[in-house]
Amino acid sequence: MIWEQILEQAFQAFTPYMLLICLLGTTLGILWGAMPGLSTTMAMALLIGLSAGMGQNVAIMFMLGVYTGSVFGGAISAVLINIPGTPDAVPTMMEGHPLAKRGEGGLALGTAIASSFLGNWVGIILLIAFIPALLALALKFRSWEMFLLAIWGIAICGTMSSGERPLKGWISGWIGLLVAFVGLDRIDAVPRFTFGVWILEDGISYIPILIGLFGLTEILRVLPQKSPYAIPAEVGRVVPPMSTLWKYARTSIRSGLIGTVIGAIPGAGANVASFLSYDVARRRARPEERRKWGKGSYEAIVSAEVANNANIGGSMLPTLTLGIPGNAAAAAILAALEMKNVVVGPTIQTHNPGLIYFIYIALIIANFLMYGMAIALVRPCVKLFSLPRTLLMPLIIPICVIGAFAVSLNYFDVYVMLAAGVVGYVMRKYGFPLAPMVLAVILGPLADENLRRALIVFEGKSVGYVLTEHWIGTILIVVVLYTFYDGIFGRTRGKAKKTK
Amino acid sequence: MSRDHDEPDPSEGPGFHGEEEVAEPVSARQNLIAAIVIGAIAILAMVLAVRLEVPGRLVAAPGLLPFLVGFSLLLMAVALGALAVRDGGAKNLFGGLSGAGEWLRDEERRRTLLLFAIIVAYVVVVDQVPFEWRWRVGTFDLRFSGYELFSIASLTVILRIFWRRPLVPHCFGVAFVVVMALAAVFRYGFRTLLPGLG
Repeated sequence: MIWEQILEQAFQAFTPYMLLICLLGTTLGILWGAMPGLSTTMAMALLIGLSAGMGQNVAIMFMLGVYTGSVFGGAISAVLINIPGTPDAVPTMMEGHPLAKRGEGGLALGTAIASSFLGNWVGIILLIAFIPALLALALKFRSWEMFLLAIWGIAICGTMSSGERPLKGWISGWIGLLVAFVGLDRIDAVPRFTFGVWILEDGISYIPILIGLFGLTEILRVLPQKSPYAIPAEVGRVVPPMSTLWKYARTSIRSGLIGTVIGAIPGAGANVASFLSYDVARRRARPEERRKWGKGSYEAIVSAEVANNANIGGSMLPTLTLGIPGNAAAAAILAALEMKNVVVGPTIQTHNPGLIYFIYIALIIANFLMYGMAIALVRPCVKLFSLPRTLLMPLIIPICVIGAFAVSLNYFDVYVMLAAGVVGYVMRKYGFPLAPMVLAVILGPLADENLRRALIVFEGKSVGYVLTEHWIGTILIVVVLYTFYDGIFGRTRGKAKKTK
Repeated sequence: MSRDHDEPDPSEGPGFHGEEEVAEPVSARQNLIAAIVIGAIAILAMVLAVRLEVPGRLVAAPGLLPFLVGFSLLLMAVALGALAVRDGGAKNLFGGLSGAGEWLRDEERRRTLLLFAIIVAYVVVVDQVPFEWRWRVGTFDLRFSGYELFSIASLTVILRIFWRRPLVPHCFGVAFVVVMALAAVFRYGFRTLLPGLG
C-alpha cells in the first residue's frame, strides 16, 4: 500500500512539466536568495501569490524548489560581495569573503554548494525517519495539548528570534495573537475587535501580513539607505575536490543534525541553525583549523551551509505533522498548502493520502536541481550583482501588491499588507523581531478554539485529573514555563557571566 | 585525533544574537516609548474583551483568551518599561516631541517618508481608479488595466528618486518591462485576476 502510494507520487513528480516547475522554483530561489537583503522568507511570501494559480502538486513542487534554492542562494552574495543574501549566510560571509579576496571565491562557493547539497540530504533523511513517529505522537494531542503547543511555539519563537531580550520576541508574538482574534470567533460567531467594520468580520488573513512584514518592511528599511558595493572580477574554480569534503565529513554530520533539530523547533529558522552550528564547529575544531576561523575557513563554511540547508527538512517536520510551521519560510509553505485546501497536521495522511511522499520526492528533486543550478548560476550571478539595491528593491513593490491581492482576490488584503509593512518597519526600528508575530497570527485561531474546547471538557474536573489524564499537556506546561523561565533568568545569567 | 574543547574567547568571533542580528541599536528611551504604546494596546484589548457578549458558558467566552493575552501583554509592557527606566530611558522622554523638525532633518527618514507616501498613493489609486482596456489581436485578448498603468507610473517615480538615474526614460523603460512581464505571468500564465479590474 505504502509502496503503491510512493510509486504513484513518484510518477506524478517525475514528469517533464513538474521537473521544469521545480527547476523554475529552484532557479528563482537561488537568484532571490543571492540578492542582498532579499530573504528566503520574503521570496516565499511573495511567491505564494504566484503559486495561487497553480495546481496542488505544482504549487508544492514550485514552493519547495524556491525554499531549497533561496536558502543556498544567500551564500553567493555572502562570498562574492561580502553581503549576506539571507541572514543565515552571515557565517558563510565571514569565512567565504576572505577566501574570495585571496582568489578562492569559486572554491569557497563550490564548498558551500556541496555542503548545502549534503545538508539537504541530512534534513530529508531525518524528516523521512521521524515523520511516522511524530505523526503517531501528534494523534494523541487533544485540544488542551494543541493549545499549549501553539503557546509554546509562539514563546520559543520569541525567545529564539530576539537575541538577548526575549521579552521583545514574546511581545511581538502576543501582538500577533491579538491580530489573530480579529473577526467572528469560530465557536459562537461573536465579532471580536471589528469596531463595527463588516470587512473585518472575515478576520485578517496571515498571508498579506507575511508579505507586508517581510516584503514591504524590508523595502522601507533598505531602499532609503545609501550603500553601494563593488563586484569582484574573478571567480576561479567552483567545484571543490572530494578530499576537502571528506576532510570535513564529521563536521557535516554534526551540523546536519543541529540544522534539522533547530528546524523542527517553531520559530528557530535557518539563521539560528547556521550560527549555532558555526559556533559548535568552532568549539570542536582542531586548534590549527580554529586559527583560520574568521580569516577564511572551509570547515566553517561547511558547518554553516550544511546546517542551514538541513534546516529545511527539519522545519517541515512540525509543519506537516502538527500544522505548526518550523519557521517563517515554512509558514509560507503552510499558506500555499492551505490555499489548495490541504489540511496539514496529525491527519495529513488520512485527508491527503500520499501527499507526504510527494513532498519527500519534491525535496529530493529540488536538492538535485539546486546543486546543478547553483554551479551553473555562480558566474551569471556575479553579473546580476551589478544591479544596485536601489534598482532592485522598487521592483518588488508591485510584486507585494499582486501577491497580497492574488491570495483571495480581495483588495482589502493589499491594505492589510500595507499596514503590516508599516507596523513591521516601526517594530524593526524599535528592535522587535517579526517572526513571532507571523507565527502568532497563524496559530492564534488554533490556540483560541482549542483552549475554549479544553475548558468545556475540563469543567467540573479537578486539577489533578487534568494533570494526570493529560500527561502530554502536563509535559508541555513544564516546557512552556521553562521557556519563559530560561528567557528571563537564563539570559540574565548569561549577561552577568559576560560582564564578569 | 585530539580535539580541543576549550571555550573559545568571545572576542574571537560572533555568536548568535537572534533574528535582529544586523538591526540598529535601540535606546532605552525607545524601549520606554514602545512599552507605553504596547501597554495602551494591552489595556484596550482587555477592555474590548470584557465587553464582548458571552453567548454560552463563561469558560468558553469569546473574550477569554483575548483578555488573558491582553493582561499578559500588559505585564510584558510593564516589564519592558521597568527595564527601560532602569537603563535611563525616562530621562528626557518628552524631549523628542519638540524635536519633530530635528527628526525630519535626517535625510534617510525624509526619504523613508517620501517612499511610504508614494506607495500609499499607488495602492489607493489602483483601488479607487479601476479600469481595463482590451484589444483583440487574432484569437488573443490583450488587456491593460489600472494595475499596469499605476504600477508603471509609481515605479518610474520611485526609480527616478531612489535609483538616481538622470534620465526618466531609463526609469520608465525598466518600470514598463518589469510590470508588463509581471502582469503577463499572472494574467496569462497563471490566469489570475489583477488588482484594478485586471
